[in-house]
Amino acid sequence: MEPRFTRGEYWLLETVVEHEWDIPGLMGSDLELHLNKKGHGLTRASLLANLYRLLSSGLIYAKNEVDGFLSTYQQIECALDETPWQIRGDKKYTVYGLTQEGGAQWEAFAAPDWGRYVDAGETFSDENENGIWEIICADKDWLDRYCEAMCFDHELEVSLETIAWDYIAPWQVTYWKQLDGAHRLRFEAQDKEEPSSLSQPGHHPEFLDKSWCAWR
Amino acid sequence: MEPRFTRGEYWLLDNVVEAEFAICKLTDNRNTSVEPGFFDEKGHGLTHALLLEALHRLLASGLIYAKNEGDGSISTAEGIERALNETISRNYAPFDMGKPTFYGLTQKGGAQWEAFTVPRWQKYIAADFHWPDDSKEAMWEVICADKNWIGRYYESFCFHRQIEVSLESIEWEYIAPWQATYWKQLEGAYRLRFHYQDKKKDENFPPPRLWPPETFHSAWRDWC
Repeated sequence: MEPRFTRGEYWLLETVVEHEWDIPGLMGSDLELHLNKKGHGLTRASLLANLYRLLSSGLIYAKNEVDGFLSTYQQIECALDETPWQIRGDKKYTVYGLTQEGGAQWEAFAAPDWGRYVDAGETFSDENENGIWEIICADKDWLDRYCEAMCFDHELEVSLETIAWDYIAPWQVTYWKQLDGAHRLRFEAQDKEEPSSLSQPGHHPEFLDKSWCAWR
Repeated sequence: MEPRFTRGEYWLLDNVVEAEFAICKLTDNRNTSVEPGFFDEKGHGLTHALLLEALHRLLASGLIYAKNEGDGSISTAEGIERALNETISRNYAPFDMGKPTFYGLTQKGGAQWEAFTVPRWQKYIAADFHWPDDSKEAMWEVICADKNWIGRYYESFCFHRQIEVSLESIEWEYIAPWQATYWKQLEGAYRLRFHYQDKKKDENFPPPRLWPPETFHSAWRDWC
């Protein structure tokens, strides 16, 4: 049986593919800014109905540190009234995420190409003035393309002797999804001393980031 | 009542937002596979039986129409099955029959696609060559409701295509209404036309893997 979604349902599933998200934040006026994508466009009543439908179908879970896992309509309604995480301080907040079934149904609709999922980040340490980059992706060619675009876009000078490749298996891609394995590239890099004078119209590696789950 | 779609149904609607499509082309490998193709596009991923079902469901719900020159409008599962089995040459010229059967969005189908996609029509770009009546030289024509978006497209187009625009040829105009696609009309849009020629090759041109202006064409309908 093929899954069938409303925009609201699919939006709610898609939003938590990579990370859990806090339920009260779904009502925030700056939601689009935080998520860097179009909003769900739902009224409060519709949002509540959509969330509860997904919860009762076992496609999402919702939890907080005080109550544990939530299961009722009233609990979801209370969660929507909590203070969003941006200003919560120490207060309780409820997050939601995909169950394995929710992940599988999202995959059936989105047909994601997990081989192109890129996990990239930079860390700094007191001992080293260069940033240390780590990029992980199951598709080595895609990782190469990403790295090239990123270095160009950020105008990075890679320290060639620091480049290190390895293969990690299995790879826990997201909180609900594990892949057989993936290539990991690590290197040190610093900003180029003479930035390119070439002005480059707005295309960034983020396009490469998005393409793994661009649904068509 | 919010529309509710399977991946296959939504794919089929989304596929004909800008132009009608020959039904028999839906059975091409390029369209049946969900593996990203040459342009990173994904197909519907449906088997022949599921594709037939999905098309018929959309047709019966009044979200799409299907038609050909011989039979006019198609309304039955048998008609769709025949359409899927039609054979056409690469340029759509018929081998042994009239033009193939095309399908497209009805107004209702367009509205439901919009409800699911929430497209930003303001960013919809139509770009093509325009041949002025009194000239042998083609002009590049870009139309979009958002004037700033045309400006960004223009900048990207010049950069990535390595072209030199003849500044005195630049023409701006506002057209109203604007028939953006075969089923969608907007109140109005800006139209930019210009002549250009290729620049001499620049050996220092940056890596060609950066994203081209085509990305601007998809931004208006990016789902999320």
